[in-house]
Amino acid sequence: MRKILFNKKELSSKEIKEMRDFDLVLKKVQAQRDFWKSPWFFGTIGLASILSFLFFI
Amino acid sequence: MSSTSLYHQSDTRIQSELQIIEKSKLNPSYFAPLYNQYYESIFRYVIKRTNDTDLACDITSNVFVKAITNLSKYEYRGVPFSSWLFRIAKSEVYQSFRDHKAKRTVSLDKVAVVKVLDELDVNDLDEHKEKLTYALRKMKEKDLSLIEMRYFEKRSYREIGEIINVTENNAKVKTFRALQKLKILFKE
Repeated sequence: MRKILFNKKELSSKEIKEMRDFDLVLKKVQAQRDFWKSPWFFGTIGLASILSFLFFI
Repeated sequence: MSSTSLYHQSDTRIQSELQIIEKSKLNPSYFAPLYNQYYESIFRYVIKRTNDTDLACDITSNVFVKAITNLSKYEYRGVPFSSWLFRIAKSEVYQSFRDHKAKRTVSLDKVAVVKVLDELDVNDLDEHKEKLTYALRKMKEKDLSLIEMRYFEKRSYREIGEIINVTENNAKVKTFRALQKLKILFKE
């Protein structure tokens, strides 16, 4: 069930500003790029493709 | 702060954003000014729907990771970059509900309540709080989302249209219908 909140105290702009962490965002972006490039990823995809091919023939 | 305060932008600002976006496609570190500019509005959008500060922080971070990762797909077609970010935020928030990480929350401040009660032709919150809570709980998610953006977050129909990917006029019609449904539920 949805929670309905009336007049909940909002965080200030200053508090929200303190939560910003662009370095973390960049790290996550880099981690994602490294994942797509990793031999592990292509090895798994390659193996899955070969197995699917063999299964269908 | 109004969550929509960054929406209406000058052409100069839009051009400057587009330059940052183009540079960020080659090097994500150039994205920092846009991250700093939109962090607060995206965070507020998320926390109003999740009511969990740590989770809102994670989701907001993921919104920017997705935005940077998919930046090559972004093309300016008259839709401001902020609307594109809100679309990603909307999708990330719904994903957190599906993953049971967050419980759907609707946050109303005093001004928003007065505006909605006015539309419902009543004026005393204390007397009608339970009925309003019931109606907001019973609404379909799509309708609630429209009421939320229009009446609780004070967004223009144009921006709502851009976030939900329909025309401004269509957003207006859909919001009007959502309000009619809210009125019916409120009178039940």
